[in-house]
Amino acid sequence: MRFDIAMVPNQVVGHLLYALHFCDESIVSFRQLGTVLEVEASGASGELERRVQTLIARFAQSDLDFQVHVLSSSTVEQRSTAVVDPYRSLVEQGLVVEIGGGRCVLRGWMARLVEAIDAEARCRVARPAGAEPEAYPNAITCEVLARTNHISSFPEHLHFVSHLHSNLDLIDKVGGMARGKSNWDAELAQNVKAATASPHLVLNPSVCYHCYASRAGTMVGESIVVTARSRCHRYEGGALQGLRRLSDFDMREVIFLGHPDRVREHRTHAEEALVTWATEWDLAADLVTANDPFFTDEFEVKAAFQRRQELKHELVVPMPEGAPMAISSSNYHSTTFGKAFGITRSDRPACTGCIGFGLERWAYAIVLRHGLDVERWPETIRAALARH
Amino acid sequence: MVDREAIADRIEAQVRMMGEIAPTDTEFTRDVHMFDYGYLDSFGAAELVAFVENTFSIGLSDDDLAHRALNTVNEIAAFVFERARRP
Repeated sequence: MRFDIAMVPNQVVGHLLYALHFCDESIVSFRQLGTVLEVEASGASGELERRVQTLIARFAQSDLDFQVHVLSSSTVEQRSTAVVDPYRSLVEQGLVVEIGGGRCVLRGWMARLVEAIDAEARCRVARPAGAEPEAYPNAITCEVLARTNHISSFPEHLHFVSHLHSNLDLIDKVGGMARGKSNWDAELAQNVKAATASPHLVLNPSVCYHCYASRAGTMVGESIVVTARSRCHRYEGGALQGLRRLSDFDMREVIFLGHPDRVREHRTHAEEALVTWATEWDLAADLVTANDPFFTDEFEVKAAFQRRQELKHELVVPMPEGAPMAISSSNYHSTTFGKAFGITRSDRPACTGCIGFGLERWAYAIVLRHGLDVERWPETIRAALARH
Repeated sequence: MVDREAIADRIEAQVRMMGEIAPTDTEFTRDVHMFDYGYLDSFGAAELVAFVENTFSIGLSDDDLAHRALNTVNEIAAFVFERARRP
């Protein structure tokens, strides 16, 4: 099927193509040919055409300034990144083990590199801000997540969690059916589905929500800073792309709460530390304005506001092909979460902000830039590996 | 003659109503960053744009929104005053 996308602004086409991955389960593949979108689907579906047209219309309304503004440009030598994407080599060498569905196991120096990156984030960004460490659960209740507006903004990414009904007959049926099977087949899946309670939990889509939820109804004063690390989970449909886009990934966040001026200051200092770090590790990274990939019909209002107010900045690195990859992001939330969770500073809702580090993406960025021979990496990175 | 102070009065009143800002809130001034301080969110910003356009019969272009500082009551009032005086 072919669709006209001439009315979608060039700067927004990438958002449309990403959103297509979640549009209809019959979509097998798609490609952009100039102002035409070509979609291949399995089987005829009248709903497919309507859904794609709805998505196109949604992004066609976005006639606002979506130009990327570079806040800090890399000062390191702008040589090209790896000519050939090293991801397959990482897999062939057993440093990355793909286990399906956008999940992987890291081994050897890749696993140690991720730990070193996390340690550096704590030393360079969290500690100078006076961040206290916190530890969070791996899932969050649907009730709490709804208060963050995450469900209204990014429902397509949510991994809902459930369990079997506490019902002896159903549990015995599922257990009995699984006994003797060595695989997960359609019959077992259907019976589990029928015996499963409605989901009340979601695997963490982000780290910082637990920080706010656990402080609901409390006063935080003018400034507090905390830091935490968590596995994060975002369903990506057909948009999976090696280490660049996993569905299950590791994230370190430093989170700021309090007076808007203090939160802004913390964010600025954290970004300065971030840029210094990227420079010392010889990463050709730029700090740029960005927006979240809002999927619902809130896209135009929220994304435009995010860009104009510079609520989201990303540290991006060049890729052998395609758009740059964001390895860190800093966000200013104003009083969104302060109001949602009744967190205050004196008699006003607290403001919040955060800076996040995608640990697998950082590791991938280092390999892209410096190659697979660790002994030839910059001394700054090798020293960090040895130190941590 | 366009009265700049009167423009600021109208905008402030609208923002106070939209943001349900208490008269006793000492942090809210005509120079406070309304979005940074959480008085208005993304939807409030869109609603305020519509109010300004309809009330003062001016248009705010995408370029205006992207490149003009329109974050405080005084900044918006100055913009409206400037536009209203255009021939």
